[in-house]
Amino acid sequence: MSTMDIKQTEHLLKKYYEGLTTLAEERMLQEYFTETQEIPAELVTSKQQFMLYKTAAEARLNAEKLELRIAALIDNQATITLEPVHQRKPMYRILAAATIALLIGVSGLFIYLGQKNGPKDTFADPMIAYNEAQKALLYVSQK
Amino acid sequence: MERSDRTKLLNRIMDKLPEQQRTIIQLREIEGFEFEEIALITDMNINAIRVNLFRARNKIKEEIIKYEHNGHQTNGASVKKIL
Repeated sequence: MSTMDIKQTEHLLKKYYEGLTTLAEERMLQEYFTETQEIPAELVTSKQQFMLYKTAAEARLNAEKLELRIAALIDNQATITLEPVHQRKPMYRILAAATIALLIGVSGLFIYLGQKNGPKDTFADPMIAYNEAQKALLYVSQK
Repeated sequence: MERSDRTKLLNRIMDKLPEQQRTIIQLREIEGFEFEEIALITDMNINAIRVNLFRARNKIKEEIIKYEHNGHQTNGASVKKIL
């Protein structure tokens, strides 16, 4: 289609800038600008314009392809995750549980021993204990 | 002009267009829809679409000319600065 001559191209471009071209005519212009190497100076800006559209259309197409590929990947991923997964319990969880159990055991032991060896009553009668304490305090205060 | 420069330039120009013109350029020039399809999508009549398209196409051309003109000016200025 790049066999279009300059006159034809200029005529189509005039229609194009008036919003009167058909899609087929716009494709002819697009092809002309993409394929023709030697563009007359007065048409260079129009070539740039069509190149801008072409780049955007290609980017749009690539984005669509990428979207499809991502969708396919997500679909595959979904079937993989649907399969039963044998999860191993992580080692750190077992270690943490063991440490907690050990801490509870050790603190229990200390509490038990603490109660067993704690202070004992030396006198059965509180009155005797009181008198003994008085005596001891008097003795200390006289020193 | 490199591909990435073209993308940047088109984005910059599109940002300057009124929303209706931007939508119509996107649908016609990038997606390649017929006027009837654009009418269905945008709920505008075909005449209004043509008017918006004609304005947008001319505005884009103007902006490309401005861009190229500024580009040469910037180069000239930077050359002067270096000299």
